[in-house]
Amino acid sequence: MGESMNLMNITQTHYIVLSVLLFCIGAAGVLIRRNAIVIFLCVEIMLNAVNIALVAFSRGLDQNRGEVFVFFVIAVAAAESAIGLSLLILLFRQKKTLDVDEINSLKGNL
Amino acid sequence: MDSTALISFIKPVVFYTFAATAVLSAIMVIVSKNPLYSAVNLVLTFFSIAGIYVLMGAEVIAVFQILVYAGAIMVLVIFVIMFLNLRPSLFKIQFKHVFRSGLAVVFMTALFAIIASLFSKGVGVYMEHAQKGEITQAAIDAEGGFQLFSRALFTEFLLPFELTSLLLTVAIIGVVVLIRGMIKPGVSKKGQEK
Repeated sequence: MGESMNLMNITQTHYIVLSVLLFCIGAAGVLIRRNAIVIFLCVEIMLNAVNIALVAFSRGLDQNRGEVFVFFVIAVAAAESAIGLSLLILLFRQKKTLDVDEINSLKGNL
Repeated sequence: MDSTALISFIKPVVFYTFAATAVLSAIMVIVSKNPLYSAVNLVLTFFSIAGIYVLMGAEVIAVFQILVYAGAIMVLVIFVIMFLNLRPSLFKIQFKHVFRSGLAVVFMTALFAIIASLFSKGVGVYMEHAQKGEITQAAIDAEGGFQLFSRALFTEFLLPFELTSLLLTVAIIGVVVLIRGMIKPGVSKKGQEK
């Protein structure tokens, strides 16, 4: 990879590449899986990947604004999980399934 | 000088250990057929990412990561998975669309290759030429990471911080409103007594 990507000298580039890798894994999970709970977990992986990128740039630029932003992202993720999981429970009681291919009544073809 | 040589040897080892654990357990989250195994693997991912944060020098975020993500959110998720008591038949129909899954994997691998090859040179160049701030590692060692983090949070970001509490209140009220419809009046104890 050249001198900008020395494998044994851990730089911000390593953290960013790890972040991109985790984000792609999470996005692939959202596309592959059909279980709504697992899709929710994959979205959490993607959020964490973005958090790694924010902290990596923040530390690399000698600031801590990125870290404060990660704090807000974690707070929003907590609110999102509370609302999302209660919606999933209501959905399961209504439809008796969590397969997102079968939960398509908003399309109007129920 | 001996300790710096030791640190420069240990840092890559720790980084690759945590990174490999995070990536492998993230893959296990996708591959596991049982959502409960996915959730437990995700806890492992969160702990590995917390280790990465400590390695980067962001201990504050590592603490929040373990407290909020691995502690609160994952307990909620595992509780909901057990509460729903999904039948085993629901686990079988995960990989029925092989073509779609393969396409997603190929597309995401290509996306990773493109972005990583762009960033592998771009980030280093950007870090060299960008304007640096004042929160260096030396400043954190002198004043403490929590002090500097809190100073930024309670001065520069005070309004977003207060709005966060408003957001959490809205989330709590929203959950209560959502769940209230589940409690039917005839099923509750007062209804039976009537």
